[in-house]
Amino acid sequence: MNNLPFIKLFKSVYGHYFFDVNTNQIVKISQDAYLKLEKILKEGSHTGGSDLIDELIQGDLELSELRSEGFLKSNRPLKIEMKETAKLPYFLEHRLRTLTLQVTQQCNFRCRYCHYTYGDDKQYHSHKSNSMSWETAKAAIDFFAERTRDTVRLDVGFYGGEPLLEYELIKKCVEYCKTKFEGKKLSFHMTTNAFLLTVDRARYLIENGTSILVSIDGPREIHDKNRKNAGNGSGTFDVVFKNLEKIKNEIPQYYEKLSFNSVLDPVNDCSKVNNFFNCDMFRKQEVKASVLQPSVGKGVFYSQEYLNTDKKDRLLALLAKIGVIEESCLSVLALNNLTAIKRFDDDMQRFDDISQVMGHGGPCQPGVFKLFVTTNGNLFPCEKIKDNSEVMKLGTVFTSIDAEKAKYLFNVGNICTERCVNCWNIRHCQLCATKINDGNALSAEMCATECKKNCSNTASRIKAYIALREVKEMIDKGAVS
Amino acid sequence: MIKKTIVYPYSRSFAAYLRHINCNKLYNVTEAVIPGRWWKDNEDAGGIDGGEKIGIPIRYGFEDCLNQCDTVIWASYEYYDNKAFYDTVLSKIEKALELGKNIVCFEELTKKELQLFKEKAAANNCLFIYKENEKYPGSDDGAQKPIDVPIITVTGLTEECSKFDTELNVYRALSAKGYRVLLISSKTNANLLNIYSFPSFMFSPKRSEMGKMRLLRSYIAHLQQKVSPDVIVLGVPGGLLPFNDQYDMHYGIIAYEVFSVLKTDYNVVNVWCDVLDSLIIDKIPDICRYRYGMNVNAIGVSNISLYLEGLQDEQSTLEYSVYDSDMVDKTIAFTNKESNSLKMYNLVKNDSVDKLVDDIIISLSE
Repeated sequence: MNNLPFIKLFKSVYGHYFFDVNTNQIVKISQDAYLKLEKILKEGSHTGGSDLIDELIQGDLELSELRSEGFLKSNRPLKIEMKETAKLPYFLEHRLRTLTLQVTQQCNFRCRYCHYTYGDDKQYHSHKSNSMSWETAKAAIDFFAERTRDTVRLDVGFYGGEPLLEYELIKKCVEYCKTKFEGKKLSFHMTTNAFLLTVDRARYLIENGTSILVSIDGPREIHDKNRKNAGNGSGTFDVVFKNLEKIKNEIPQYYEKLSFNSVLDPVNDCSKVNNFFNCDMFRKQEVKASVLQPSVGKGVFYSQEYLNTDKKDRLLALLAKIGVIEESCLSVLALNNLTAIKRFDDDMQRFDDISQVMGHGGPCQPGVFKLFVTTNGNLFPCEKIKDNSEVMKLGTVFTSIDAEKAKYLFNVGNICTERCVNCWNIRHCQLCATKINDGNALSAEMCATECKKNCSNTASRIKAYIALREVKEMIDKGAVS
Repeated sequence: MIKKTIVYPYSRSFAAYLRHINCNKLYNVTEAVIPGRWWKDNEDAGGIDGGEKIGIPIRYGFEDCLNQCDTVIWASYEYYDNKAFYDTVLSKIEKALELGKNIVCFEELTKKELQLFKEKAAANNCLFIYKENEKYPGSDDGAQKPIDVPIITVTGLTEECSKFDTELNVYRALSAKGYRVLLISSKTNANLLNIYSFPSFMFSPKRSEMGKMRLLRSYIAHLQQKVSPDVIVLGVPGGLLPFNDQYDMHYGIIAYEVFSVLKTDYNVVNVWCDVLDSLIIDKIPDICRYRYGMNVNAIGVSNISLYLEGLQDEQSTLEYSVYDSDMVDKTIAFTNKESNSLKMYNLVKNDSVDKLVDDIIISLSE
């Protein structure tokens, strides 16, 4: 049995800390206590701990006080199992929440960073000419409906390729859903490149409760670098921007409901993206930004301009978090950083103890929060999956959902149980089956890499959290202004 | 004479009513019509709340079913701020009246709506039956009248934990054993089921809290005199505890007023399945004793539970999960293992409810 304190040590220029896994708290300690804990962890790691550890902690005033406050416990989970596993069959039977229909695999763009464009990735499919038939779409909606007995708010999404290539099918689905789900709170969502988003289409979709997320990367020179027309390879910015302007001018009340997503290619100077989204067209809109995700085994080049702007935006976000500057002063990218900080803040609630049976923090309930239906009616937990991946396939709309498969994917932590029960990041780990799917099975090797990445991400967040706390303390003391 | 009745818009919140209606052959209900088409056509209506079968099929398509009936039970429905759907229901009820169908309305209407529907019904020579407030003269000298039969109270730690079902089941089981039972339901529209309703004056903003409490005492004494029961079953509306600041469950104010004027002889506290762990279960007796001055004799475990994941965003509507009986059994087994000696009963299992009733009888006979 491991009786080492279940903690992770951190230090900054200004102080020493540990992250206490049982209580989910970051605790400041003296340098002396830090060194003692470091020694305990180092020496104890060879033996799994011993009674001497308790003696060492009890013999130190600071550490023994912390222990009496509920910190430094050695409790670790005995078994890795997601809390809701037993309820998963019920959720799959009666409480599905979001259906996403891949109405087509075709796209009128060939974005240079799109995994689908080249289809050479283990994780994703490539653009094909397949589209969903009405029969399959109807079967998918019926399948979903029969499993929403207890769901009040439900959402149906349209995904591609480019979904607006199948606008007529989408309209038919919207009308069918309105009849099917009468009495419930129904909404729709769609991500589009807006090349085919006319005023009439925007009006119809928004009037029927569709959240439309428009992909636009930034000013012409940045957008057109990656987002190319499938037909002639030319840039797409002008058409997209013109469509948006028309919607803004003709139906401004609907334009306000559009939100935007920018994929940041770190090769570019993202201050230009900030400036672009600060113009009248976008200032009042919700704009999300995400950094380009490289294909498995490939890297991304970060330009110095990108790194400088990113660093500045992160700092501004931290300052906004502690109220030094107004949120309204933040650029789009800084605001995105602030959202991430706030989310981590929410994740830092205190607990008494770690549960004996628990799962890591990350995965959603496969099929429940999202049920992705491919053009031919196969069911997957989400859209970020290669559509011939048997290991991720949950069934088809013509048969049923495989609850056992869903349980297996949900409990992806079982791939690395031994590591997981002793991992300080268990509460915050974002490990997801989609990330360790090698095409045929969930891979232990990919899992190990992913675990490291997750630990590193959480450590960065904790460091930012500590920095934030230290700056705030200094401001409160009047040490800085 | 009612020939054929349909229920619309049918949902989980009406299943307990429908079970009682069918059991007591109150209105000749033949179909329960759901809005939309999200549940299985022709499935037994009992499937919607995970309880026992009712023997009435679920149907799609209000208009088709309307042609086959002479009465529509307008079921109470959780609209979740969906005004468009509420308007749809109103127009369908109007249409039913225009076709000369009688309406039995369980929905809560505004005075204006009620007036409008009554007028429409009169114009089409049909009935519009709506709940009636208790015809009680309103004496608040209740303290002078004795209440000398045992009182069984059904309370809920929170709202939506099957109190109404429990009241009806306990009432039914005790009646079947030959007891004369006065049931005062936690619902204010129960008079449409030939049951006494929890008095509406308790919710009136015009009365003082003291006045309400005196009147409640007097009202129950009055019903006792009128019915001469062996036992009273009283459903207490609302919850005992707020869930959080946003979902306050009315802070247990009604329960506080009820238990301030009545002494309960057997108190069942219903809880959600699975959200509550053994620690909370163990605290219930203290909460009841120190907050309400009453004992807890049994915990009724509902198959309903709050859907916590649904609370994750700001515009959250409280959503509930409806588990099957096995999940309730598992919860009881798990909690029993770690908890004190409180008796726990599965509220969706008939034999478990029978055991609850046996325990009530034994306890009241001691």
